[in-house]
Amino acid sequence: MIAVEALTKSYGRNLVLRGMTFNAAPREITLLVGANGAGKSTTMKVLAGLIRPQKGSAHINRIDIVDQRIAAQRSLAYLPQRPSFHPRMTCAEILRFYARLRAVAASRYEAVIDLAGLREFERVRTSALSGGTRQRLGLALLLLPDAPVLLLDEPGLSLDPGWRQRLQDTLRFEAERGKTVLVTTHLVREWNNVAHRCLLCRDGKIERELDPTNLPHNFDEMEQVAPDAHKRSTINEPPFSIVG
Amino acid sequence: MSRLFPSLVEVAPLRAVLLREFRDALINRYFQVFSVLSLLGGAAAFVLSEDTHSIAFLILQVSLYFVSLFALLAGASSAQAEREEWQMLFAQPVPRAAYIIGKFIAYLSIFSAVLVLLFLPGLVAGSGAQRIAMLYLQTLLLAAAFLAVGLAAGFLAHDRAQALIAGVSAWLLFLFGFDLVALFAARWDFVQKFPDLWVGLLMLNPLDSFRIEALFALEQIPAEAANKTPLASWWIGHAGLWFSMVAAFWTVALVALAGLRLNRWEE
Amino acid sequence: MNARIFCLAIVLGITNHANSATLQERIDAAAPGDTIRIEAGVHAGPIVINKPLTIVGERGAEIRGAGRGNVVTIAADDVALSGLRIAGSGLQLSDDDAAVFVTGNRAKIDNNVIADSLHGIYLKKISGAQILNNRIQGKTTLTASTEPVEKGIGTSTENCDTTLVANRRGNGIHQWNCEGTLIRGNEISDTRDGIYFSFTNNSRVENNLVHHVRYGLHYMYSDGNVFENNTFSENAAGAAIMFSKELVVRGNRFINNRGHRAYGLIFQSCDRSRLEQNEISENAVGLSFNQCNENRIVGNRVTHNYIGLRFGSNSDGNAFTENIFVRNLHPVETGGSDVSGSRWAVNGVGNFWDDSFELDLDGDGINDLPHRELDLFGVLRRDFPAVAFLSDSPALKLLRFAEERAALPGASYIEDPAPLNSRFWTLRAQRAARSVISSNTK
Repeated sequence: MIAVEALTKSYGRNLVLRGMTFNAAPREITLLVGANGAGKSTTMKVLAGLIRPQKGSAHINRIDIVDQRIAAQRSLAYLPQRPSFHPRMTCAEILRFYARLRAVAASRYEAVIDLAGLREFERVRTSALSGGTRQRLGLALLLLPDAPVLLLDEPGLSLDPGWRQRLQDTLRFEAERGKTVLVTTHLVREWNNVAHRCLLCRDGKIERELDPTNLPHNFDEMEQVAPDAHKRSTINEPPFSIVG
Repeated sequence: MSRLFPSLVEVAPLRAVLLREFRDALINRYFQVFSVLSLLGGAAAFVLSEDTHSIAFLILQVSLYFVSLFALLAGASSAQAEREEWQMLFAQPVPRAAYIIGKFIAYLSIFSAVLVLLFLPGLVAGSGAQRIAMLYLQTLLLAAAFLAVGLAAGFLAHDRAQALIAGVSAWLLFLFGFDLVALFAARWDFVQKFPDLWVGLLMLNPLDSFRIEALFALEQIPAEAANKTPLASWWIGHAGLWFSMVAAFWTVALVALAGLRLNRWEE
Repeated sequence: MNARIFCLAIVLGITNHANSATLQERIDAAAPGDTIRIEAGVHAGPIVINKPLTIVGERGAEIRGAGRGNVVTIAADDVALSGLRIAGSGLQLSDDDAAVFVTGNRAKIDNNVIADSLHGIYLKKISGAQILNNRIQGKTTLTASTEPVEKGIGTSTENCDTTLVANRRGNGIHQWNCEGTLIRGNEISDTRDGIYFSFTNNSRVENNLVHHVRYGLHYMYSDGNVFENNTFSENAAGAAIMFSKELVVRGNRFINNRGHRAYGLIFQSCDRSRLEQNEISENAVGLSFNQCNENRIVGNRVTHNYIGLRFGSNSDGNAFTENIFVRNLHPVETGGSDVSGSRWAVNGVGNFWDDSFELDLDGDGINDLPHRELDLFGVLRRDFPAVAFLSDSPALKLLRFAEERAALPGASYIEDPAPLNSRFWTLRAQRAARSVISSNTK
């Protein structure tokens, strides 16, 4: 499970997280949605152990990611927004490295390659991969260690619809196996009826929880059309209708 | 150091990092070019030199210029090779410093093998096993120091271009800048009053230490006038020891600096 | 008791030979022109030879002095002394004590071993002496000279030093005011100076080996002498040749003379001489050239020295050609001296410099661009000796490279207008071979 409590993070004068607080439970896919700059990716990076918050705490399976980073990281797998790899290494070399790193059994290694459809790309350098294939390689690496907590930052942006569907199916499957899955996305509608919870993130904190079975079509569009909408609205009046 | 290496209990991840860095070293372009140059340099020394003495001298020149430069370039480019993969890498349960130390060990190990290409022809030509072995070890230490310079430049820089510019600038500074400043400073009255201070600063430059060790110990050139002060005399008498110490100092200091930088890296 | 004394006498080797007459008695008894054969064993010195005699030592024959004065004094002309071990002179520098002290003309001293003495062979105001194939070893229990090499330059006393200090070593072969000496095939070590020349003219010094002394050759005020094929190694200075003229120094080796202010060859205030085909290697300073005029320096190999050539002031009319300067940390030091009075090429043939830029479009073995040999340290070497740590630095090479293309302000240098490249000698040999063939066919 994931427990985030009053996270604060700023880059210079730019305050990105302003008391971010939420929980994500096992067996659930939790969505973190919001406009660009809302603090979703920063929260993910704190949870992945990539950055340190100024205040607050974040726990992965009850282990503090800040104070016990290595121990906490053993319980998680993270897929960044744009997964990139050593350009001169092949898919197989990258996969083997992460497999060794997380002490993954050979059988799981083989299964993940097939699951991500990477068999034909094993000997291809990552610099020669298309964006979608690189995403699949990232997905393979996410699933490789069989970690109890999965963090996905804007997954599936470069994937074709078929693979996006397979990604969601896989995550549902993993959640049913007992994993905690936290996903940030702005393609909100795609996750309608897929996620178990949906948290709306704005100005570096959770504004409210949305109905995961009735998510809007054009989240970004609405935010861009009415950039000041949230300033006019109150906390009980979201800038867009999530119903219909 | 405990902050750099908070956990060393699990060997598998460290082994994985080491294997990856070995692979990275083998596909590093600078390293590949250096391997070819080493082979050509060793062969050229063998073919072109009139005597075994000249072979050692040619190898020395290759070491001073090319080994230092390519070790630095290999280090800097390696540090930046998977710059965009850092998010993936640093989300793994491995101390970040492991990547630096892994790179250092892997690159130096392969350098030690590639340098054999440079020295082997001299050995075959009969330059004297002990002399060549000594020169080999000193060159490897030089490679270690400049590998560390390259890694530090690579990890401190924001991108590959910046890393290469910083690395090459550092190399030029060590190779030319230091001595040019020293030459002009030697004319100042203040410096002439404290020659040991001047000598001490020169001693800190690994390339100067390597050059002095090679000139006065390996090349057997008389050290006339050089050993007029206590520190200078000590340096001439212990040039090999001092070079080993100063190379080790720079290596450790710069690898630690790179480790600190990486530990604080945030994107 | 008598048997014991006899045995002791055998052990000590002190036996009376030739009807129990002492060596001096036998000399005194001999007629001029006689040959005296000295049997194996130790014969008590000192002896004085005051008539033309030939004295030949058998294997194991030794003349041992009593530690006072000279051991053998040759006071007559035409004396020959060979095959002996001669030891045990006095140690008074002020008295010029020597193993062999010669005041007679045409003395021939050959194949002797001289040890345990102050001076080895001392020649005083004589002519036509021949010193051949002797082995002279200094008395190592005496203090070796620690004076700086250049000390004493310009002194002109009969004695070998300006200040005669007790308990110091003497010279191997010491000559004062001599003429036409031949010194050949001797080995000299552990003395103060190997061969000392003062006011000695028209002599030849050939094929000698001098090592582990202060000056291999300490030479002044002596003209018209020839030095050929000698080796001076591991001395404080290989040779110091001063205040003389019309010398020939050819085919000698000045090697491995190290330490503070050590030199291969010091050439000071010498004129109209020829330095040819010498090898000057692994010295602190290879060739030091100061206040010398109108000399020809041809075909010498100056290699692996800390400073190859130190070119001092007031030297004009010298010609340097076909010399090879290789692997010297500093090929030339001028110290700011005016070097314009000397030529660095003769008839369009300069010298070989290992860092010269090779551009030879006409393929004659001579580079098309002049070579500048820059002395970047200049007077700094003297004012700030530690600057030597910048020797062979890439930064200095960079400055030299820049200087080749644009003269640096204030930098001192010599310019060779016709630097040679490595093909020069091959091409010349080919030309010579062709001319021989064509003359034969004619």
